Amino acid sequence: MLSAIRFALRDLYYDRGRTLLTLLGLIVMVVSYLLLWGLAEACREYGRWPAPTRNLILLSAEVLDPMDSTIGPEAYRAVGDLPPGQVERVSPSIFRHMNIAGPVMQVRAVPRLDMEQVHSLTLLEGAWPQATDEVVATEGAMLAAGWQVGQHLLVYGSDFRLVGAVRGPGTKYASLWMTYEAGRHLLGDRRGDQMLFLKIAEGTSPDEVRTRLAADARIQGKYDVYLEDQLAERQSQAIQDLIRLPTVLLVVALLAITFGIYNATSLTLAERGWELGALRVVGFEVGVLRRFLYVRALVMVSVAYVVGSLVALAYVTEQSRNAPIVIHGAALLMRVQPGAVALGLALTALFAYLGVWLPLLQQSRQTVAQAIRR
Amino acid sequence: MGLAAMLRIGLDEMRRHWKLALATSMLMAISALATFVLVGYRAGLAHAFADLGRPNLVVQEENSMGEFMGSRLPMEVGQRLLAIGLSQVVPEVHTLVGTSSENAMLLRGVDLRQYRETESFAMIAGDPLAVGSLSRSAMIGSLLAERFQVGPSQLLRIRGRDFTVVGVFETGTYIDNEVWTSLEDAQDVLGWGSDVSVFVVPDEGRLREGDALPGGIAVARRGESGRQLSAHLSPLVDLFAVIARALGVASALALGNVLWRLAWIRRRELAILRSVGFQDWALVWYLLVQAAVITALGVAFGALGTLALGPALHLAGAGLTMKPEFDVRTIAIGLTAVGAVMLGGTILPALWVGQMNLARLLRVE
Repeated sequence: MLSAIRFALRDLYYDRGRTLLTLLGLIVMVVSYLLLWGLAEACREYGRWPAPTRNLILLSAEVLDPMDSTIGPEAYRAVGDLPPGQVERVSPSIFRHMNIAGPVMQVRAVPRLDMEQVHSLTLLEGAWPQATDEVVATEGAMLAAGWQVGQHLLVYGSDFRLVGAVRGPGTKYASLWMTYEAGRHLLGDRRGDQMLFLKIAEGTSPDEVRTRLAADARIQGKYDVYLEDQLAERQSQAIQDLIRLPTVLLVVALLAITFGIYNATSLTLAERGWELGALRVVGFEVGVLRRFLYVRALVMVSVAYVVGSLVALAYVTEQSRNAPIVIHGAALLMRVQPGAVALGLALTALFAYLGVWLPLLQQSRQTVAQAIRR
Repeated sequence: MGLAAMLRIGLDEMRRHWKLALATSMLMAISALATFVLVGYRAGLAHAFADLGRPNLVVQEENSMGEFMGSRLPMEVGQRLLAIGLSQVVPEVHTLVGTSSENAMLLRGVDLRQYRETESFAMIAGDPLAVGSLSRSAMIGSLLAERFQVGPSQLLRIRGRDFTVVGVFETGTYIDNEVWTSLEDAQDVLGWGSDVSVFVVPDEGRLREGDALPGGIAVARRGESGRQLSAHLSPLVDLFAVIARALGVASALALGNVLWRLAWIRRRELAILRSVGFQDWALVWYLLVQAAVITALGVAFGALGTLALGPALHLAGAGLTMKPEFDVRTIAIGLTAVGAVMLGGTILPALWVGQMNLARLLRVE
C-alpha cells in the first residue's frame, strides 16, 4: 500500500499542473458542500435552547409572535394562587420586535435582577442597565448592528445609552434589554406585558405547574403556558422550515463532488490507456492497476477534503465572528460538522472507486495488444 | 478552411469520449441547477417585494414593520392625522396569526369603504369584500389560496373562528399571502378593541417619510415593510449566491481540465492539423464545440432537475410562501451565467493550445 501511495504521489507530482486544476475544482466543491451542510444544520438548530430550562412562559392563546400577546390581571391572580414554594420568581416581560439598526431585533424590558436570575443573561462588558435611558445588548445584536458599549441609540424615538454587552441563550442571541421601568416609560402601558415568566423552584416539576396552570379557568382558552425552550422551538419553526433549500443544494453539491472525482479518475484512464497497457505487458495485473488508480484518487480526495474543510472552517469562523446571519433575533450559526466531512469523504471514496472500476472493467476486457494500440 | 472540419472533429471527440462528456455535463448540470435556483429565488423575492413603493405613506409605530406586523396604534391617531389636514386617512390592521409555522397567515383588516383606493388587485375568483359584506367574510390572496387549498364559499379558520372566503385576489406580490377581512372582524379576532396597525395616508407634503410624531409614531413610505422583510432574507440568499458561484467556478475548472486533457490526448493530431494550415482560431473552435456540447447537455439536465425539484423549492414559513420565478429574463440571466462558466472553462485549454510548440508536438512520437 505504501508503495502505491508513493507511486501515486509521484504520478500526481509529475502531472502537477493538471493535478492542481483537479484539486482546485474538488476543493471548491467540498467547501460548497460543507457550507451548505453547515447552513442546513444552522437552520435545524436555529433558536434551539442549549439545555432544558425551568422557566414557564404565559402568553395570550393562539399568538405566534409574543409581541401580539397581552397578559391581563387574571393571569397574575392565577399564578398568585399556585401552591406556595412552587414558583421561585414571577417576572413580567415587555416584548417587541423592532427594526432599530438593520436586522430586526427583540427589545425586552424585564426587572433588572431577573435579567440574570430568570433570563440567564451574563454580563460580558460594561454594566447592567439601571436608569430608564440605559440598555444592554447581546453580543449578537452588537455584532449585527456594529454597536459599541457607550454609544447612544435611538429606540422608539427616545435616546438610550448602551451601557453593557451581555450573552443570552437561544432566541435571545440578538436582543436589546432594558429595565421593566424603562420599558413602561418608553412604551406606556396600553399594550401591557407580553409575557409572564415563572421560574420554577428546584424540586418542583415545571410540567406539573404547567398542567395545573393550564387547567385553571382563568387561563384556559385565554393563555397558553409553555416551557421556555418549547416556545423558542415553536417560534423558530418558520426558519427551521427553510432547511429544505440548503438540503436540496447540499445534495446537489455532494453530487458535484462525486461527479467531479468520477470525472477526474476516468479522465486519468482515458489519457493513459497506452501506459496502462504497457504496465500490463510487463506483468501488472488489472487488480494492481485498479488499486494504484484508486489510491491516486483517494490521495486527491483526501487532500481536497483537508484543504476544503480548513477553508470552510475559516469562512464559518470569520462569518460567525464578524457577520452572523441574524433572523428575528436569533442567529443562524454555521458550523463545519465532522459528520459532514466523514459522510462526504465516504461517498466520494465510493464514487472514486466507481470512477476507477468502470473504465478499468472495459480495459480488462481488452487484450494487452488492443490496450497498447494507439 | 477549417471551421466545419473542426466542428466535426470536436463532435467526433465527444462521441469517442461520451462517458466523460456525460459525467462533465452532469457537473455543468449541477452548476446550472444551482444558478437557476438562485436566479429564480432572486427574481421571486424581487417580484414579491417590488412595486410596493406606492405614492402613499404609512403612519405606524416607530421601529416597526407595520405593514407586516408589530405596530398597534389607537384609533385616535387617525383623528389627529385628519386634524393636520390630510385628505384621506385609511386605517389597516396587519399582523401574523396562527399557532405554528404551518398554519401562520398574514391578516389584514381593511376599511371596506376605502381599501380599494389604496390597494390595487385583480380578482381571480369570487367577489371582493364590499360595504355590506357579511361579518366573518374574507378574501384571500392567490398564494394563500394555493397553500391552504381554499376558494370562494369555503371556510378558512382564523384564530379559532371560521371565516367564509368570498373571493381570491392577486397582486403579484407578497400580499398574495394575505387574508383580508373587514377592519372590525380583524380587531375582533385579535382582541384589539379599536386599535389598528397603520394608517395609510396620501403623500401631500403634510407628512414626510421619516417624520416622527409624538408617542412613538413614525411615518414611512408605503412598501417599506416589504423592503425590510426582503432585506431580512437577503443574507441567506447572498450565502446561496456565494455557493452557486463556487459551484460555477468548480464546473469551469472541471470543464477546463477535461478539454485540456482531451486536447492533450489529441495533441499529435492537433499539431498535424496546424502544420497543414489550420489557424489557431480553428483549434479554439475545436475546444468550443466540445464545451458547447457539454454545456448544452448540462443546461438541459440542469433545467430538467430544476423542474423536477419544483414543489420542493416552494418554501412556506411565517405566513409567507417563497418560490423561484422563471421568466424569459430569469432564464436569460441563468443561461448567461452558465455561458460564462463555459467560456471560463474554455479559456485555459485555448491558451494552452494556442501556445503549443508545433515542432515539439510533431516530435512527440
